[in-house]
Amino acid sequence: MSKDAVPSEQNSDSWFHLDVHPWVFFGSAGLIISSVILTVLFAQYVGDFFEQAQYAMSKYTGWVFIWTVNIILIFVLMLMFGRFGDIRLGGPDARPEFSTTSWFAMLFSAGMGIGLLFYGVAEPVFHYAANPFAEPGTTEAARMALDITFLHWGLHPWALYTLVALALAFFSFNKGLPLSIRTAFYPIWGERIYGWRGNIIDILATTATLFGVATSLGLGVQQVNAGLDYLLGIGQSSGIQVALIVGITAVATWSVVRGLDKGIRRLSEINIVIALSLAAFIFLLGPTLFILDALLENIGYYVQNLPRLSTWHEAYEQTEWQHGWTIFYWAWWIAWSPFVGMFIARVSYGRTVRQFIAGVLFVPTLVTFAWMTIFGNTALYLEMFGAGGITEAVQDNIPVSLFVLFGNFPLSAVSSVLGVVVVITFFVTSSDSGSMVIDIITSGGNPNPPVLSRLFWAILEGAVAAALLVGGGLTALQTATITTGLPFAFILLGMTFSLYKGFSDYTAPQAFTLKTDRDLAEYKIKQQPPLDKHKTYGYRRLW
Amino acid sequence: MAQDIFTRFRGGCMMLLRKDGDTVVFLGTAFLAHPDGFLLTTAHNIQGREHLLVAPQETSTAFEPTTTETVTSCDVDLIAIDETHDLALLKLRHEFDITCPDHMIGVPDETPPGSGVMWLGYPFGFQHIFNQFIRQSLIAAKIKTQADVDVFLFDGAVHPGMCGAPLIAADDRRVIGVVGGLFVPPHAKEVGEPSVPSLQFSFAVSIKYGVALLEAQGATIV
Repeated sequence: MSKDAVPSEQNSDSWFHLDVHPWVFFGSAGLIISSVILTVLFAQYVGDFFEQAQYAMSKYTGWVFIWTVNIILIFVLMLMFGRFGDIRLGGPDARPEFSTTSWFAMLFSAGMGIGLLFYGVAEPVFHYAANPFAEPGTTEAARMALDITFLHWGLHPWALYTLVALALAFFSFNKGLPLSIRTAFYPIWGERIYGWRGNIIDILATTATLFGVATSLGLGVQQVNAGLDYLLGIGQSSGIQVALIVGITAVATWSVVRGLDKGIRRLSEINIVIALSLAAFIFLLGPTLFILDALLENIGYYVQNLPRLSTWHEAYEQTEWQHGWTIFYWAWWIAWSPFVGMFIARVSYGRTVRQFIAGVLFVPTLVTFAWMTIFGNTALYLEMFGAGGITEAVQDNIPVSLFVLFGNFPLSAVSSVLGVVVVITFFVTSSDSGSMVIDIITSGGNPNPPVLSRLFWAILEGAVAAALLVGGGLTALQTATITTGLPFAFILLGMTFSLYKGFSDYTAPQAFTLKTDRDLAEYKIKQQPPLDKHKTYGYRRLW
Repeated sequence: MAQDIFTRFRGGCMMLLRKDGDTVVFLGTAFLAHPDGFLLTTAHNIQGREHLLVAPQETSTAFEPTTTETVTSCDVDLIAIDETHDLALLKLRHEFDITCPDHMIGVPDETPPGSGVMWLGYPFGFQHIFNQFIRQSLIAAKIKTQADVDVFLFDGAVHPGMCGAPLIAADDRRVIGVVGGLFVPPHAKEVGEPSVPSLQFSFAVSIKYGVALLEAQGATIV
């Protein structure tokens, strides 16, 4: 490994140092700003266009997504149990930069974030009310509801993140290449990754990441505002929502400027502690025994049904349920994989491939399952055995449904406040890690990008969210981001080949071949006794 | 484990030869230490700076004949001699496509006694048997000689043809030393009974001296 591949914190506080990759930095910034202006000016047209594009993508290329996520999951599992498992990211002497707890906190905060909070309640309830495998409202529907939710949030998305993160970490930390999406193609393209094709990939990744985070932020603050209105009756207005964006962006900017260790890591840890407190709160005050029973059954059912569900494509039903759910999720996770993968790569120095996959694939999946069971099964418990009303709340307003759920249990004021805090901290951690990833890519793969660049991207992220919120076009650009899932699906498939080749070359035995045969000569061997050491160089001086 | 190490290093582990008229004579073992074509061996293997050659082994799994009359070899230049540490740095004279595993150089200072080690070379080259052998043993001790040289002692007798072979740590499959020869106690401390034989221990100098030779030539250690 080249010595400069160690992700140290050097130069992290050099404010006036602006070391950027000009094509990627200015290309991305130009594309983002012009896209925002065009979207605001032609929101309706852009929205319709990308909605049609997303529909067409789901309808005609859904099978591509299903193949892609399954191939990647199998590939990642093969890496974990195969001969490459002992490779250590950063070389044999590398040691982890962060403790395992901090590592989990950061990758979980970046990987799933806010979606878990809202969809933890909403998705199982949606599937309980309607899914293609069971009669709505039945016991089987409840069982399938959690199974489908586990499919969408379980091993497959984390396998996508694992692949991208592993490829980037390996080529960056072990081969000394820049920490950038283009780097994953080095075994295929060689030095050409530094040319136009590498620039395009990095610009696409930067733009998708920024739009993904900014539109989530813009749409998310509307949901937070709805929740706060439900709790406090403060009303809903774009003024409040912009103020929320400003507040979240300010904290995220502070975090990203402080750096990975002093800012993002600490916020992620705080975030996870608060989120776990909320989950513990609901677990203890909710139907504890039902949750414990259900967790075991949900996991067992998921394992039993995984091959069936993950390859099902409604070919015989000719329905479109899957377009709006499974295919949407696969496209969404794939579109987010450059961002989350890059962030996970950045914080995973020093882990072996086996540790890395176990940590990134299985641990977050199990935590997600526990989370979904606590929130989803509590909601289903209320529907099946309690007062009900959650289905209506979910269909009415997803964020508010979370607080409706809290209202069914004691100390709802405490859980609601905790809920709001978790929503906001999840936004902050998504925002700061997104900014950090963009900073790294646009600075040419520098794991510790210049402070000015961090400041620029963190503020731009908030500004884009606010501009789209006020001017319109949030949903349009979010849909546009999801459509990048299709090209990225092919990029990810290319990455599997590239990573396998990289690992094979890395562990290849010593070999050398002549460039021309004329450099070899054949000689007859003359026998001679062992050398007289006194007539040679060395040896005696050693002692 | 041993099979992995053998596969990993066999292609870079070569016979060191010197041209003598129209024939060549066997000098010991040398191994590829850097993808730029640098090889390491022990200095006491080298007789004269000119006419040095190396010959790699066929990397097949077939049974090889024990003796051969001829050898296909290529020219190497003697780049540096470190007599204090009994090391020599050679370089392939012609252009080759070389695959060298990354991180093949280990960390001798962090390898504790008791660690498993392997070494491979051509033990019976002086007996006209030019097959590559792999052996394994344990690091028995890590000592600093009176000349201030870090040396591994390992159990097992090194045959003369093995001098210059890489000493490879079994757990991480990296080179930690260069095999020097049999350990003779009076060399280390000339007191006590002078005739005590020690056929069960051999020594290897730390690879860090080899790294210094490589770095002095501007080679980046990966």
